[in-house]
Amino acid sequence: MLLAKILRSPNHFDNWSNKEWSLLVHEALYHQMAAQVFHLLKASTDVPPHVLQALNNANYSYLRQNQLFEHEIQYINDWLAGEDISLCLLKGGAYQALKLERFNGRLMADIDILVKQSDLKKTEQLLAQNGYIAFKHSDYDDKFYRERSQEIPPLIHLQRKTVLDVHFNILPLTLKQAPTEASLLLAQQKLAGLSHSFTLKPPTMLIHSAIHLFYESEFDKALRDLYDIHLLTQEFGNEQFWHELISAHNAIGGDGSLYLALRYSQQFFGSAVPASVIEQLSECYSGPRWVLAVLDYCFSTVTLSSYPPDRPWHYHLATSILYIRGHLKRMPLRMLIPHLLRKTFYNLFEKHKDTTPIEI
Amino acid sequence: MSKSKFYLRTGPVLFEVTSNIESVRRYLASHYLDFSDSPGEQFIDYRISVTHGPLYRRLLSPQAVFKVNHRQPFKPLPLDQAPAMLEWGMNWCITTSAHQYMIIHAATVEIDGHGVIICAPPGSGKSTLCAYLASQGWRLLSDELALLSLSDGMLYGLARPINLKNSSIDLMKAFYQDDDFSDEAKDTHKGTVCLVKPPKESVLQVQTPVSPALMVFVSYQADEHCYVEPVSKSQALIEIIKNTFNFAPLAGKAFCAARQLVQQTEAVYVEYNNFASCEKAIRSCITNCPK
Repeated sequence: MLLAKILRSPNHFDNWSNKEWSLLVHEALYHQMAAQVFHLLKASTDVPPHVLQALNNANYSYLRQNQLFEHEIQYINDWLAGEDISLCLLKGGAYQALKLERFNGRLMADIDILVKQSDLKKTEQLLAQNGYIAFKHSDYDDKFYRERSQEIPPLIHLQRKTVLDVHFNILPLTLKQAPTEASLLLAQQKLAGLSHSFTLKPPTMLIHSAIHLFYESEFDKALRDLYDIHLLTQEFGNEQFWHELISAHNAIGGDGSLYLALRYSQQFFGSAVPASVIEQLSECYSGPRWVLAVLDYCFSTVTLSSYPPDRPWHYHLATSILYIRGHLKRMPLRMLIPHLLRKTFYNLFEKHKDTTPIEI
Repeated sequence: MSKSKFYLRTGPVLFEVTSNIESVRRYLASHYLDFSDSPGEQFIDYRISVTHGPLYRRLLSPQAVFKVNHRQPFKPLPLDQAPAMLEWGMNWCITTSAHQYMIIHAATVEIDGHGVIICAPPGSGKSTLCAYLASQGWRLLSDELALLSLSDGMLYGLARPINLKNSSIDLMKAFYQDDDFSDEAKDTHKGTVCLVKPPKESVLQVQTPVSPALMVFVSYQADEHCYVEPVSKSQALIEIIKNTFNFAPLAGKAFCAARQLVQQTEAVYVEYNNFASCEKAIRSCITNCPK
């Protein structure tokens, strides 16, 4: 995959013809990373102008998103500030709010915020008063989200159509090892210009992104999410950071997610992770070696062979294994089986729910 | 049926089209001059496909599915709308991403080096007038998308087939050959749709941009022979902004381009029921334009 190669080393495009350039642009568009590739390549004089133009066209969506994001986060901050509720921006929203240049061009599907569980009810009321309502979900989904996951069902703004995910924990409540929210909320840094908004500190930010990624069961955005991990290691990875990372990881009682995140970020993008860090984290990874081999196969397949023309015949095997793994990590089998049966049954009747009617 | 790939060049854009639908292949062969089965050394702007739906849908009310870069932005349509769906899908690709242009929902034609932008709400006869003018030797740039370059302020053409609807189809039969018309797609969201082949000269000259000289806001009125009145700069500016697809993503850039466009062109409002009189009226407006 050319996209992964360019993300790993942005200068490696010797003597590319239009064939390779077209493929790179299409892979990047498919993965919704074209604006990120634009920022990686824009300074290079060896990239043909028509290629930069195609990538720059994707950057317009990013610039627009950025503008909307800035407004939206100011609104949310001010609404919650009225009741003295603090919020913590997570993932893409945090990278954006901190204005980390490495993340320029990164698109987000929604804004993720974390509030204290005790503030959740009031937060929901304030958001609803200002136009954020829950959309497309049944009573079953609502109950499931609130009792079994770490967030409430997604909210959408009635006019602006922005999607907001409100988290009240970082891991699903079904898990014994779900960290207490306090341990995360303690480790925060304040954002300039926003009275009640914070982000996690770099080590916890990386841990949260890792946990979020490796508790997923669908990996459409695996490439982008693992690249986030790589960028975080590039952005913050000094000696003190690695030290704090290990202590924060131990304090939270983290599982193997962080190990897997750094393992793959190193394998796919060549992240500079100290060997001692990998070694210490590998001790937290408790699974047998053959399971790790299966995971290596699955994650490299869904990350590096996800562009449809590149997919091997066994691609669905990898996605299915990860689907079941993700669900088993979130809930025990006695809950999982009825849940999956229910979802399958409903999905049968909602085939094209994500496509819109033709407009032009 | 096997899938085959075609490479279509339309002005500045190269499409890779994959289709296993017979009517789509027939349509491409008859309505596009510049297509081949290899991209050669060219950069591919969009990879699109129009294919049959799943197997059971081939037996029961057959469908066509449009995809761009392996993703499906719209719901499938009935199979007889496949060529029209291809055209709509191509428009969608351009309007959502070709931000090196300000993209106005308008027809563009050229006469004697003067670019004319014809703007009207859907159903007001924009495409019909455009088809008529093209049949009278005006060069067709586009019947649907005016591409105004943000770098040089010139209009760029696509020279693609003209999308005619409902009664316009019969009206234009007098000005085109029978084999210029595609099969009709009935009961689309725009009624009956038919695609008319662009004049060969327009396709051959498609790479030549033209400077915009005149904006015409048209309205077909059954009881009005031909009526022309000037349009103020501010009114023209508002109309252009309202009809710009990518105004939001381009933000300030689009406003500056629209203002520049309005300052350098004349603008008129025309009501007509007679094509020849309308053509004459537009010609006389052009003679007043600064070149």
